Amino acid sequence: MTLLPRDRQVRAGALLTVLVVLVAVLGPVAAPYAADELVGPAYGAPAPGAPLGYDYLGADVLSRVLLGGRSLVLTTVCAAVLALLAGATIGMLAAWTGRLADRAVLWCADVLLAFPHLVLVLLAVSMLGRSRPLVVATVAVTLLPGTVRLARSLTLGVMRQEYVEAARLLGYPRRRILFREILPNVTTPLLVHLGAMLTWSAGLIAAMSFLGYGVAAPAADWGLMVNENHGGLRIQPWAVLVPVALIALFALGVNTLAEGLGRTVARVEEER
Amino acid sequence: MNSQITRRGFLGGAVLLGGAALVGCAPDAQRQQAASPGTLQDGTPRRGGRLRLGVVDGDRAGTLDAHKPLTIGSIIRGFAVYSKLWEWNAEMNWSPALAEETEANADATTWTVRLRQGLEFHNGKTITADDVIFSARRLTDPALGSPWAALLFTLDRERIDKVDERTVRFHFKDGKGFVPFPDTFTNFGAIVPVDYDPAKPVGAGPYKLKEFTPGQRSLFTRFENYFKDGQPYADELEIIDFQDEASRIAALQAGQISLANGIGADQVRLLQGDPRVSVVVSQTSNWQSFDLNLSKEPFRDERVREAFRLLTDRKELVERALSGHGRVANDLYSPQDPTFDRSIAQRPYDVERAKALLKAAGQENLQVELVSGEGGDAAALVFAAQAKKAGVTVTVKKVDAATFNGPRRLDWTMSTGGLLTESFLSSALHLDAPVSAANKTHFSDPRFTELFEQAITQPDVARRAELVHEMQRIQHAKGGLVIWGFNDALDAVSTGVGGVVPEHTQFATWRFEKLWVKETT
Repeated sequence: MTLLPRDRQVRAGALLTVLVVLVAVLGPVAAPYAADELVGPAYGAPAPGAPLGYDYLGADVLSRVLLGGRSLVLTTVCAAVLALLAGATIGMLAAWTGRLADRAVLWCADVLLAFPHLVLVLLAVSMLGRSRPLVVATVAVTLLPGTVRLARSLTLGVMRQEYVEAARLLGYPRRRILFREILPNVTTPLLVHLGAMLTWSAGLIAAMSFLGYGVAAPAADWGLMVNENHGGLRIQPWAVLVPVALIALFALGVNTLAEGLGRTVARVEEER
Repeated sequence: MNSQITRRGFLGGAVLLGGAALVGCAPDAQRQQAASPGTLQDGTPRRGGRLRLGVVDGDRAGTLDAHKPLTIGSIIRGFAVYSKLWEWNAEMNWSPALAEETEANADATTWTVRLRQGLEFHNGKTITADDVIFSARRLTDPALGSPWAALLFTLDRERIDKVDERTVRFHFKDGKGFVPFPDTFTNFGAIVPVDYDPAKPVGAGPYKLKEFTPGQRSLFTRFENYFKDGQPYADELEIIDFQDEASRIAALQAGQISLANGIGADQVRLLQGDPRVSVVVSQTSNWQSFDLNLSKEPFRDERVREAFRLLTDRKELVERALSGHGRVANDLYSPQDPTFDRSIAQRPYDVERAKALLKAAGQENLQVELVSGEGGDAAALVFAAQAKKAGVTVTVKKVDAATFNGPRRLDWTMSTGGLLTESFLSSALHLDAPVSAANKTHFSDPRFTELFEQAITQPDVARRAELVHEMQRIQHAKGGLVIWGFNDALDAVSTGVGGVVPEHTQFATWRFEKLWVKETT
């Protein structure tokens, strides 16, 4: 716990992430208008009561910014956490069981890894619809191969440790060895990996919305806002720049935090 | 079998025309004052130079086939290479082009067309009746599979008679009259020689093809024996394909192209401050609508249909969805047609009456899905916000063009729609006439059918107007088209180009024979 404030990178990352998450989570409470309320002129410039101006249809940009982060942050976090849980489980089990299952899992992961993530997600969404659980599941699937490979290699490393050998010789049940001996020792690097996954997931989900395959209008979404208003970028830039900046800050914050945590963990392990 | 092909083709035609109609409208911007003819017509036409038109066309395959242009780029290239018997004038009415004289008999069951004298194709061959017959048969040949063939679905392609070397007589199936023949034939009835080869296209248009790289560019040179004396003016015409609007506008501002047709309304404000570019605003009768499916609930009930029309704030839709580049409509198409009934009062915006009608119909808290095709989502979203005020929840479902125009195209309960400017009868043939195949509203009324069958055989405008007026009153009261606006066509033109003048069509920058380069560089 005391390590966190010491590392500047971790602090900066945490600050950025918390700021954007606060905007996303508390924004809807503060939004002056509903997402579908058309209250000003189309591409109207900033005016009293509308500090960020109006979008391509005349909706208040500030309101849509405040309302549009929750879906991105929520979907991003859910997809990354799902990928972490599923990937870690599959990777650990593959390493533990070995042989055929291990090879099969590796082969599947490699196939998935070879498939362009965005194409895979767009294919699934265009075939099966754009419901949020489906988007979460599909994005999680694209993140799965990396997590599986990481969890597997970490597990193989831990399995060679003497205390795991000892637990085996003592006849402890497999489940106990897996969850009590191995899992605690692979958790930290996996959590660092979660940070990286959050960055990829945010980028992928924002890209989907930009391409029109994410949240459907009139609901507000930062990626969707970029799509809707990019034609007027030179007339009313705020409708594009603010959501772009928030997406970038979220990705940057999470990434910085993850890298900082990774470095801290490495340092701690070195010190050991 | 035949009827099925015709039906599908007809729909394809309607859909593509509808798609083309949307080219001129896009998300938002501010109103730009219409460029006056005086500011753009300045100077005397001069010969020489190269005109450069940028088109946004997603079709990388491209085509130059006279009778099968499938995208906006192909259609525009066709305006350079080919000429037709008739052409659209600035008021979007047909006038003779290669034809010198055209005449329908008393009940429009036959049309006799006489060609001008001394007409030539690009290869020097004289244009004769045989070429006209060949062209009409090729366009309607099921083996060619042109979607535009359906526009002439009543033409009897086995009975096109050669009267003499310059005269052709067209007959229609089952001896039925067909008043809108010139309208339908003008769109895609390019006249080509009997030995026409689409790989080496020869026509009688103002420019001859020199080079063509599909999806990239095409280069044309002036046809010296074009049938309009002294035209065209420029030595060369280059049509450059762009994949997106932003790069096309940037190329225009950088001077790499001199014309950009059908720009999005959101680009108008961008160009306003640029002294090198003018935006020509052509007030068209290209219309935008919401199509209510009368075969499905809740739109079987006339009161619900009326309520939807009343809760549509047309003025706001024009302002927001067309950026003010258009005008309000009254649920009726073809106001440019001389038979249009101007005495039908404009339907007001009346949310309270809409609510009362919905209540009377037992449809309070109604929920409807509005399916939006490419380019229609802005209007759909504005309408959804308007419907909310009357307690109606409209969920906008945006689908891609392939889905929108796919097998379910006639099944949507409510969808966005629209069409290019067409005569009243032509538009009806597309959408709500008894023989129309793209009848998205499933409109069917016995009296309307009776009147349509009389009108289509009535060449006399005054007599036809009486029939059309009654048809329009039926459409206005009972139809399923909520036609809310007519969109302007917006063309961006470099100040170095002369001859582009506002019209009531979307063709201001396509009339290549009339355009000239002011300074040859």
